[in-house]
Amino acid sequence: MKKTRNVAIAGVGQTKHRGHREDVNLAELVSEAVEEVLADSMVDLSDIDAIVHGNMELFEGVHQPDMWHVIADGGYGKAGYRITTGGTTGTTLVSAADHLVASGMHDLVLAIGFEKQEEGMTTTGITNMSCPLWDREVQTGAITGTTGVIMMNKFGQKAEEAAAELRVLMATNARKNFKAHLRLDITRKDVLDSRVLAWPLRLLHMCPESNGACAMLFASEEMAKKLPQKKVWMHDHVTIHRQEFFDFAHLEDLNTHGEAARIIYTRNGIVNPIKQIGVFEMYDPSSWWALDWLGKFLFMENGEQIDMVLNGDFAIDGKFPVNPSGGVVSTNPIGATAIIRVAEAALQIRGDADDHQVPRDINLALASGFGGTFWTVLHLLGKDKPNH
Amino acid sequence: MATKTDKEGRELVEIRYEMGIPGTFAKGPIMGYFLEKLKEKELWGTRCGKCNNVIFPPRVLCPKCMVDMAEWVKMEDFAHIVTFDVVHFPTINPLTGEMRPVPYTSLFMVFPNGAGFFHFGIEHDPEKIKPGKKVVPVWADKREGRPADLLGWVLAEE
Ligand SMILES: [Zn+2]
Repeated sequence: MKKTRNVAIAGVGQTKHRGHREDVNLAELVSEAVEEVLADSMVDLSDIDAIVHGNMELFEGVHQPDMWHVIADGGYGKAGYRITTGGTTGTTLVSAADHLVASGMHDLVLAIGFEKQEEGMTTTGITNMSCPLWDREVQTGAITGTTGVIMMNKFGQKAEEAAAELRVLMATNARKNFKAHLRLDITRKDVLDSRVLAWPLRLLHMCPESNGACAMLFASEEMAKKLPQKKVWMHDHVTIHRQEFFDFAHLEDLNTHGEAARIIYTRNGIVNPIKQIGVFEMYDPSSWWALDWLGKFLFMENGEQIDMVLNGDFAIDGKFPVNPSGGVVSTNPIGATAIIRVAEAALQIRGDADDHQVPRDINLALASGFGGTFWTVLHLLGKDKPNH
Repeated sequence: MATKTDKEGRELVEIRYEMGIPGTFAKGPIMGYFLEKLKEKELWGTRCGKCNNVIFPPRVLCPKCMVDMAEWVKMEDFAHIVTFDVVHFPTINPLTGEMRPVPYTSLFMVFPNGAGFFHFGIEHDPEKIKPGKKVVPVWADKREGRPADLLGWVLAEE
């Protein structure tokens, strides 16, 4: 990617993500993440030039929430815009903030993703994305076991064991992250005994509905030099999607993750992602999707990732740590979910992830977002400045 | 106004309300033709003259080639299953505001001319639904040129 100038992550902030937050309203929830990013970056609200703000508006049924939220983010009179790209909202916020700084338009840009899923009706919001003339009648939301069906047919029982093991790993990681929503103490058996949502997808494979917000501050190189926090550098990002035209007859055409990974690896000299990338915060809406997608991001065509899961290779101290935060199956405030991936990847590079810190130096980290219409946003972050 | 308390006994105040969003959607000539044909139990798509792909339901142009569709194509009255979901989690139909009964089946299907599409299956037993099986449409008795005219797809008699 060609950039006019380098962009650094100058700070991150998140709420504790919880199933119930009736103690605060939407704006108050957002302000918790904003206060934390200001403290983390040691920047004053008045220093910020522009704000990009995002969630899924139909989920809470509040249109243009950024107007209300100026009392939470100091947006009064400032430049900025609102982004709402579904599951990828958070990663698209990061892409937009990166563009705004890299272009030279602004020196300090605040990106905020949030969702309060206990308010409103998520599935109604999801189904309303479909064309009302036909698809909306048959659109049913995000519950699908088709990936599981395909994997079971291809790899048998071992795949079911690995999907369950991956869920157990996410729970183990989430218990080390006090901000995660579900911090479950579960076994493979618990996962396999949980009720069927859409066979072979079970309740414990699926992400929860959470309430939470995440804010990140992006700075130009010049500005970043003046700020005290450890820097993490934006190396590259790419967005790949099929919009509503995904081809149900050729499911292999839906590999937007593989396509995104190929572009990012090629542009950044990554020939061995497992060796070169220190941690991957992957958007995992369900453990079945996660099991399949690890293979797509790592170009494993024969299901090698299944054995890697069963070997513990994706654990915090494993060969290729995935979602030390506990992932999306543990925490899912949708408009914040994808930006949390990038924020967590940045904390890992800084070495500031506390109890869920990967116990080694991380130079490069990957963070992905995923949305309804087979939409991938993939970000590569680094400890050192990129060579453009 | 409902009143709840949190763990520390502090009062939590919430307002509950229902939001209705009545909608009227213009069909346009392409989807208008398609929806009218449902009344005659016919399914129509459009074919791109450049890449030759058939898109179902029809679109005015091909999203990959960005050219106008060359012709209308009447779809066969059967398709084959690619994959499926039997879903046990109730979701709302935003067109009616009512919860869908569970289980319901989502079928990913392909027409003989290669057009892939997505619709409801009438069969909910995952043992009976298999990729490759032939399915035929089930129509509503009273058809009004709306998506609900097509109820779903059922396994064809062997
Ligand atoms: Zn075409």
